[in-house]
Formats: sequence, structure tokens, C-alpha cells
Amino acid sequence: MSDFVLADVLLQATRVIAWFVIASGLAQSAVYLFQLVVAGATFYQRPPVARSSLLWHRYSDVAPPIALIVPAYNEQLNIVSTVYSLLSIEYPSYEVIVVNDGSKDETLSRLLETFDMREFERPHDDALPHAPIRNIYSSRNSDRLFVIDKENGGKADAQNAGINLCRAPLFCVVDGDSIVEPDALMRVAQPFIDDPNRTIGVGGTIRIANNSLVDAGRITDVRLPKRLLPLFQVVEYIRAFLMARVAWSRINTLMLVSGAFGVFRRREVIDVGGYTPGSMGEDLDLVIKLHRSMIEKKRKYRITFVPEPVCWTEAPETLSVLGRQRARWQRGALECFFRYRHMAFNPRYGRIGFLGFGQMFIVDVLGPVVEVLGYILMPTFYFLGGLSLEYLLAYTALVFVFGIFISVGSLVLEEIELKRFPTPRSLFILAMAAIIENFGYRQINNYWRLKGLWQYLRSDNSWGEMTRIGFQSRSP
Amino acid sequence: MLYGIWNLSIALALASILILLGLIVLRIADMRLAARRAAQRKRFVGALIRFSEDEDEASLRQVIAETPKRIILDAGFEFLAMLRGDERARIEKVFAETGVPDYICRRLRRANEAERIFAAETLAAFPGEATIAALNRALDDRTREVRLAAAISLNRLDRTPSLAELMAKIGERGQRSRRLVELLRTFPLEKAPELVEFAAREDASSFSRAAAIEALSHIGDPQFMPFFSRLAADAKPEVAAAAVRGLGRFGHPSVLPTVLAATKNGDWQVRYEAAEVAAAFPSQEMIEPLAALLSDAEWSVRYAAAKGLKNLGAAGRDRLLAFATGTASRGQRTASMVLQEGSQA
Repeated sequence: MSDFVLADVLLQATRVIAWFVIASGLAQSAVYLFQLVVAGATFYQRPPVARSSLLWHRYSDVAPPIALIVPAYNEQLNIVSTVYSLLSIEYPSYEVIVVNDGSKDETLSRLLETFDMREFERPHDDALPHAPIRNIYSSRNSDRLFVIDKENGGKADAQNAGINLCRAPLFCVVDGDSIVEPDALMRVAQPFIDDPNRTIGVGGTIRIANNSLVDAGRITDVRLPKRLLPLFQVVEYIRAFLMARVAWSRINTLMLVSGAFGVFRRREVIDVGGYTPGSMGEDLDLVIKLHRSMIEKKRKYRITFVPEPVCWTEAPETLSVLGRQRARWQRGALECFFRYRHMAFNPRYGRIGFLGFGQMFIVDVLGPVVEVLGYILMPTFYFLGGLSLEYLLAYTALVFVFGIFISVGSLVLEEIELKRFPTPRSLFILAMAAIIENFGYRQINNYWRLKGLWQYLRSDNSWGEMTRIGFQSRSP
Repeated sequence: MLYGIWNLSIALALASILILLGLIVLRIADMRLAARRAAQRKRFVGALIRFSEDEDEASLRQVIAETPKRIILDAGFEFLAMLRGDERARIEKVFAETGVPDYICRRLRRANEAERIFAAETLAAFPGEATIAALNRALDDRTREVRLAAAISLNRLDRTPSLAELMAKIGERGQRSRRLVELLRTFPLEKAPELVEFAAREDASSFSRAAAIEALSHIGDPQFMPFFSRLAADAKPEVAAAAVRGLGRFGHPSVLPTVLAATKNGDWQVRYEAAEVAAAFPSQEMIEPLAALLSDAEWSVRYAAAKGLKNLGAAGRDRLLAFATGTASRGQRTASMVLQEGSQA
């Protein structure tokens, strides 16, 4: 009797788990579909963007000053290209502050040598705490360029040092391995011009530069990566930026402005204590803090995403480096979700509490667990006789085809809005990558995210080394 | 159920394939169109360059007649942006005679938002009743950016309606844009009393009042000084700060008491502007008020005050030095940093 009851209980339990997995999977699919539809509607209703030269003509007199803050830790391969790209930006009033966060490589010496830097005393605010500054340098070649050399304290700590030092009312964080397009700052500043009192944060698009040619700090030839891993990431980034960010921004529920390229109002960031030191997802953490602060103060505000400003970055090319990055991102998301859990589904925080945190809960907290459970449970049920082969195949096919459909949909958004990939062939390759990524890459990604979950549960806060290859240059 | 799942999968797969094929076909067509347009654009710009050299109107007219108007608008105005004076006027005249303004007026009515804004901006190059009528119509456009662009063009053509009417047409959201600053800066000088009236309106938004004050301060007429002094005590910090900044532009000693009072304002923006302005007056009276601001809670105020003291001659520097060598405090840190500011080598 007891065996029979136990078997029955187990069967019921597995049914419950199965329904939970199916319901969570459907919720996740609904989130993706919602993002695709809202992003599509946004692009459909949005007017075509103006040319760069027109933007300059129209806005240069009223564009607010911006400080570009570049935290750099062991970025010797790309830092010079990054700084060149920043110095060639077309914007009327900006300064570049590179924060060398105690690099162990030649990041600092390359900067000092290339840009002819000398020690400089620059009075600065001490509103945000950070590791001690060893020296500040200014360039003899450019009035715009400053370098802070400080003791290592992590990315958030370096960004805080940059915020203290900058004097502009807006600051833009840019990763040390990034190339910013010349008109990107003018485009990303537009919401601050259109609605200066309410706009407190704006993010732009991040693109992958692996295999593209870089000359004097500019991308001169956009090419798709030759290797499979960065190619998959190109598809992922298109989905993340042109679909997810556009959709959430449209309903004023943007939870993330990428740490690789985002502009914020300095005052509001200082009010919330700047970036949280030691945070694994310092960019997500900052945006959530800003939402919380503005809602609690009952102030009208906007944190928005503009797709046209593009910042190119180098993506990991090996499984180990990419795995570390993804595990860290997952830890960051979980850390933020649970750190600010009092906001989740709390009516006081309105759409941020319900939609923003709801989406994080479905995609970041449940997402990887449910998908991996699905991969394990479905065949198990089949072998136990609880699921017919027909249903197993049909369900599996639907999950994969839906993933491909969403990716192809995001390629449509790319074609409508940015069209950065030069040939029809690249579109075809991207579509193929969108299909292939479902068989292997998607599963390994979930494994990395589960690893991140495990590290989060064990309070493992190691950042992990990010090995760089360096941008490809036309010149030898 | 099973068939439903399969049918959905097949439908999604087919849709994906069709969308992808459609994207590729569209991209090929788009590339061909872009190549054709690039060739037409090159030919048109070449004709403009030749016209600048030989002033052969007939050949330019010929090329204009054979070039799509959209390219004339885009490439033509990009080219015009590089020219000034007679050379620019000659090309504008040819454009006007070949129907370009009519085309722009049509774009202003019917095109998408980005093109309507561009059309409103370019029309400023073609004075005339048809242009004024088109721009006035555009003041009722559904998009505020188009309304703002049309208003700025009307300013440039000296045909601005009254400020009250303009503000009503631009609407509340339009009055929040920083483009408003440009609009008011280009407002005709003879209509400055309207700006004064608007800046004094307590029911208007702080941002738009501050923009009006900013525009007035650029006119530089000393008769506005009492008005600015009054606004420097306005309850809205944005307005008071703009008024103090404006007073600084006059550089007249009579504004000193107002500036001194502003250094004690409860809002940091006003104190900051006061510190900046005070630094521009080489007066001993400024030393103690600036020294008091060295202990301000706001960094930018402390920094402006310290810079001001540093620029106030020996007495100011001595006061700064006294702070820098005093007990550790915010003011001491700021004073010390400002004294050391600059290159080491």
C-alpha cells in the first residue's frame, strides 16, 4: 500500500513541477513576445532619425556638458583606441576622465605615453567614497583628457571616483574596451535636451566589434565576427537592446542602462550614493536605486533608452571567459533582485515593482532554473511513461521555433532602425546564428547562469579575469 | 492539442523563413536604391560646386530639374550650411526659382516628423508670404519639435507672432525643451518687453521663465537690471539663479547688494550663481561672503567660492590660504585643492 501511495505522491509532485515549468516557460515566452510587439510598435510609430550633421546644427547650442568616465582595469590592449574614439566624438562640450583602477598591466603607462600626460591637481568633490587616488594627470595634447590613477577598488569604485572628479551636470560611463561612434553622444543627449527636468538617465545600444576594423578610434569596416561564440552574442545583443530595452523604455520601466554606455544626471546619482561598491551588477543596481529614490520622492522622471547611439565593444571569444561573464551577470541580477526585494510587487513602486521586478523574476530568477528543469524533466517524464513522444517532440519543437522567431523578429528591428550590418549576406549569417544558437549555446548559457545562481547562493563575489584580444586595426 | 502545438510551430517556422527572405530582398533593393541616390547626389553636389565657380545658372537649373527634390533638399542644404554671404544667396535664389520652397512647404505639411522639422528649419532660407503662411500653419503641427522649429524659423525671418501666442502654440511640453532657450534667444529685440512680461509670470513654468531671463540677459540692456534684481529673490530657484547669472553679465557695481544677498539663498543653484558672479567683481566686500560659502554643503558652491577668492587679488588669496592652513573641514579641503590646482610640471 505504502509503495502505491508513494508512487502516487511522486507522480502528483512531478505533475505539479511539470505544470510549474510549463507555466514559467509560457510566462517567459509571453515576456519575449510582449517585448517584440512593443518594440515593433515603438519603431513603427517613431519618426526616422535625423542625420548627424542636422543634430549638430540643431542642438549644439543647447547641448549640456557631459563628462565621459572610463573605468579601466587591465585594459592595455584597447584603452588607447577607446580614448582616441572618445576624443574624436562630435559634441560641443565634453571631457574624458579615464580611471585607472590599479591595473597590473600597462594601461596607465600606455595612456601617459600616448597622450603626453603630466601630473595635475584638480579640485574635486568627495561626495562618493572610493579607494584612494594616487595621482591625477592631464594631457598636453588635449584639454579634454584627464586620467585618474587610483588604488584598485572595483568597477563601481572607479566610476564613483570619476563622478567625484567630473564637473559636468551629466556623466556618461563607457567601458575601457569600447569604441563610441562620433555622433553617439549627441544622440544620447537628445532626451536631456527635449525634457531636461525629467530625464535622469539614458542608455544607448552596445554592439560587438570583434573582427570589425578599427582605425584611429573609429570603426571603419563593420564586419561580423568570424568565430561562432561572438556571432551568437551579436544576436543576443540585438535582442537585448533593440527588443528588450526599447520595449521597457517605451513603458517607462527600463531597469537596466548598460554599464558600457549610459548617461546619467550627476546630481541624482550622487543623491543615491553613486554606484554600489562591490556590486556584481553595478549598472542594474544604480538604475534600481534611481527608480526607488525618484518614486519615494514622488518626482516625475524618465530613464530611457535611445537605440541610435552605438557603442562598440569586444565580446569574449572563449567559453571560459564568456562563462565567467555570464555567471557574473546572473549573480548581479540576483543580487539586485534580492537586495531590493522590498520593491518587488510592492504597489508603492507601481510599474517598477510589478512589471520591472516581475520581468526580472520571470527572466532572471526563474528563467535558467525553469529551462534546465524543463530539459531534465521532459525526457524523464517520457522515460517514465508520463509523457508521449509526440508531445515531447511537439513541445520541444515549439520552444526552439519560438526562440528562432523572436531572434528573426529582432533582426527586423535591426533592419528598421540601425542597419549597421553592411550586406544581405550578414543578415543571412545572423539568421543562421539565431537558429544554431538554440542547439548547444542556449543550453550552455543556462548552465553558466545556474553557475551564477550557485555562486550567488555561496556568496562568491569574485569578478573573474576578462581576457581581451584587442580590436583589429587596419594599420600594422 | 498536439496538432495545435505542431501547427503553431510550423506557422512560426514558416513566418521566420518568410520574414528572413523578405528582409534579404528588401535589403538588396535598398542597396540598389541607395547606390542610385548616391550617384544622383554626387552629380547634384558636383553641379553646386561648379556653380560656385562659374555661376552658370542654366546648367545648375538643368541638374536640379533632373534630380529628385528629396536629394536637392538633403544634399543642397548640407552644401548651403558650408556657405555664407553672396555665394549662399545665389544658390538660394536658384533654389527659390526652381520651386524648391514649394516642395519644402509640401514636406512641412505631409512628411514624417523628422522631415517636417527639417523642412521648418530650411524654410527660413526663403523669405516670402508663402513661407510665412506655411510656418504659421506649422505652429499648429501635432508634434512639438516641429512647432518649435517653425517658431525659430519665424524668429529668423522677423515674423514672430506674439510671445503669448507662441507659448500657447508650443504647449506645456514644448516649454520644457532646451530648444526653448534657442527660441527665446532668437526672439526679435524689439519684442523684448514681451520677454520681460513672460519672465515675470508666476504661472509659467520655472524652466521657461529662466529661458526668458537668459534671453534678456544676452540683450545686455542695463534697463533690465532692476527687473533682474527683483527676480533674484524669486521663490523658484531656477528663476532666481537665472536672474543672478543675468546680473553677472551686466558687470555693474549696483548689482552687488543683490548678489551678496543671493550668496545666502536657501537653494544651492542660486548660491552657486552668486559665487560665480561675485568672483567677477574685484571688490573687498566679496571676500567674506565668498569665504562663508567655502563651508557650503554643496561642492560646486564651495569650488566656485574658492575660485572666486583666488581671483580676488592678494587679499582673496590670503583668505583662501588661511582656510587651507586651518582646521580640517570641507572648506579647508576645498581651499587647499584650489590653491594647488594646475599642472605640477
